[in-house]
Amino acid sequence: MTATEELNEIIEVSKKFAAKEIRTGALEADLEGDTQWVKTIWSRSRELGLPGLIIPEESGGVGQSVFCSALLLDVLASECAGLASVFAHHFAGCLALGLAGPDQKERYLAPLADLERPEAAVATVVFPSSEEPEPLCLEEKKGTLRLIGTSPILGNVALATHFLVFVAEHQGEERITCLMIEKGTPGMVPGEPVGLPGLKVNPFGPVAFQEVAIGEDMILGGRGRAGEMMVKVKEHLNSYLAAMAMGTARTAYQKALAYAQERFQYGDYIINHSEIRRLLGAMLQKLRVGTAAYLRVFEPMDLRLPYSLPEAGLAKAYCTDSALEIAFDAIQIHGGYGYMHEYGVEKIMRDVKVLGLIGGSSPKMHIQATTREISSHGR
Amino acid sequence: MDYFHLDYGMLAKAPDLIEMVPALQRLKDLCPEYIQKAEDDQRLARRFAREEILPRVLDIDTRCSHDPTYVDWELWRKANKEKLTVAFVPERMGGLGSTSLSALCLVEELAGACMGAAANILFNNFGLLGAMVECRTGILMKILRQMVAAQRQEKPVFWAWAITEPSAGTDAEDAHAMATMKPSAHAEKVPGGYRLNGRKCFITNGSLADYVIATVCMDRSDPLASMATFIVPSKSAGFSVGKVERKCGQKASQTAELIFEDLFVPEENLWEPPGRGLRHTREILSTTRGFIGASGLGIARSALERGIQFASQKRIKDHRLIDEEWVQIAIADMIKDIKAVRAACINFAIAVDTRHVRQIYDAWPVKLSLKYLPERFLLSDTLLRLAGHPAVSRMAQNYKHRLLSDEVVEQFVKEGSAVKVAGTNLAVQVASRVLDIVGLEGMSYRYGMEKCFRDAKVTQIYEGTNQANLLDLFHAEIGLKL
Repeated sequence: MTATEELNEIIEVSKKFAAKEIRTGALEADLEGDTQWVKTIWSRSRELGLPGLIIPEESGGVGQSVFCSALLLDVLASECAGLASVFAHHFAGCLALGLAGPDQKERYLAPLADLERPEAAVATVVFPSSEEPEPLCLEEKKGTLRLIGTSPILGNVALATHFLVFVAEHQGEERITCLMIEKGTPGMVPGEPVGLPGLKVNPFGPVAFQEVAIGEDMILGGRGRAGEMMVKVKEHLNSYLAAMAMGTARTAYQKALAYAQERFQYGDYIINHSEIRRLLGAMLQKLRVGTAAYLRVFEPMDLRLPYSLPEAGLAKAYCTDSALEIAFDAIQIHGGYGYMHEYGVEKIMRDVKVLGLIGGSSPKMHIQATTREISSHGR
Repeated sequence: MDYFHLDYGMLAKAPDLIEMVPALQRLKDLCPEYIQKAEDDQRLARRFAREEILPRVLDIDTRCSHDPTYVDWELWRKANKEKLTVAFVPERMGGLGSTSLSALCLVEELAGACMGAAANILFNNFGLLGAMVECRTGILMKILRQMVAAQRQEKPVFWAWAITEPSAGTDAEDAHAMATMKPSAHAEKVPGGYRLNGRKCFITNGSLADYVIATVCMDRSDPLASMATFIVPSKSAGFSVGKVERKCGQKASQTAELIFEDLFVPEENLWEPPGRGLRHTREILSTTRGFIGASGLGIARSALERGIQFASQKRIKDHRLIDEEWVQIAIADMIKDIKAVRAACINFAIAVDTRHVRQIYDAWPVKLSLKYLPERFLLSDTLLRLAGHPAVSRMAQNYKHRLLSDEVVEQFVKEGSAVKVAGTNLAVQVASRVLDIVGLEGMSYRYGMEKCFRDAKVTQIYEGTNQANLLDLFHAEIGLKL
């Protein structure tokens, strides 16, 4: 099988899986933010090896590319962005484990791929932030290294067993260390869910680290040497968010297109109104361009193009903004029905808005992009 | 974080109507009472919103998420005590005596605190609004008395307006569309009255209503020519409530499906005869759409002002979020839009007071009666009998027809549609943009901004989708000239 055939096969299988396993329960689970439902779907997905999709084969995973995982997330999000977001955080955590040494891989990465384990292992990732009252930092105390502070709000808090924590030695310092902290480690306290309007099956919250003692085996890739990996994981998470936004928006578009052909109003099916056709066309444009933008993130970098490909942060900003506009318009086309829970369109609007804010809203992405531009090209 | 720490906007203690719309100062010089009333209502609504709604709004929203039929009756009783539930009833008859302008202030302030609660409290006045537009003095007086009695006894009397049908949303609000609509509800003439069958959907307060004002056609193949308006007491045999919808937002306000099964409506409950139903609907829409614009304005303002409170406290390293230039520009940009829409809303409300059905209050018999008759006489059986006299009713209707010519109705549909679209688009844009500023943390339900985001979207859909409003605007402004 060629790589492309393999990719096609994975997409086909995951489409079937998503339609069969996710579609029926997603709306019901959204009502109360049912994490038990996520656990059920997760364990079924293990039969297909989905949680181990990007874990190298030597560690027991499927060994697929990040590109493949982004396509999977697109497919999963087209049925439920909340569920897809669990996978996205998990994959980001798995990527960070690329820093692990051989023993650490055996200890941490293998369980994440292990299909036979009685309890599923789920990863998530924590990035440094300067917006918390007590940002995370490392402190030497009586000869022991300790992790102190509160993480920013992140996904998979309720589900994760493996927390990959990127932390600056001190506030504002550029040297980054990556830590692997297992659930139940003394001093690690998952916070209360903050109550977001979307992705409700994946309750987001902060995690407090109250002087968590850090052993040598918990440091991945050496003290202060995880900066590059952090940038990479962030980029991949952004591309995941872009892919999920487009998957989610595609469903909104398809629902609106189907509804417009069924709904009779103003003496005709509404699809025959030029304004509705214009609206649907504008939605399709955003969908197609957004999808292209996130796919370009994965283009081979050795191509000498006369222009720059969009980086993941900008793709994410474009895709989540566009997805929100698509969701707004899909609701509008549905009229009052679009605002009712049972039609599943308003859920898309709520989900997409949260996707757009993970890792920073679009205006922040724009500011960051300019900062990157001037620092890479000089002033 | 002491969330509401800035003395600003809807959280400012002193009313600031003139500051919000400085041009009103000139009007205040000319008609001090008129502006004073608006300032009074604004102050009342501001205090009620701050002291009664804001502290419990998140709790209500959460409870309604679990159970869409939940109503916070204690809040309703408190609003009732302040006479917000009888806002349009003249003061000397026991109401709040709100003008359109002052009611607009009520809507903006209450919608800012919670759009769902605002609908619960204020949409009670729907029945009265319908009767005023209708202007049959007997019915009007009956409703006034009933509302005042209910207010005094603290027993809610809810009115719902049932236009939308499962297969016909906007179709039921527009002449071109109604001609081709496929109604599911219909009425037939039977001895002594009418028999109604069919369904209505998405009816605000439908599940709480004591009375439903329903537009129902007599001939399903010709709805435009046969649309009539009925008053249906919800206790009638054959009336039932279907499902109460689970909505994205505005959860405190119930949205229900209504089912009519061989429902008998006596002759006297026919409000508008067949063929006049659409006109009645248009008359109502010509005043209500502008107020939906004001609801949008309230939501937009609430989202922004909450965002300002949050951003002025949120610290990032050595500065506050609000110290960042892009945040300041975004905030100012939204304030600019809010100011423009508010001016349009105020313009609309004053126009309703001066050129729409509220001129009835300026008619000398009404004016003098409300000023000089003893209060007990205003609600007396004698006055009710007098008002019910066919000659009086005819006189009032003739007066109303002179006031509300087709041109006036269509002009106000046009003006109202413009304000509605502007206000509701603003609500959606601002609620979303504010979340971009405050990020995931500020999006937590406890800050109420995500609620504004959820509440906003439906304002672009109800009272006619914004597309339908824009078509109305086009036809009235340009289409008639083509």
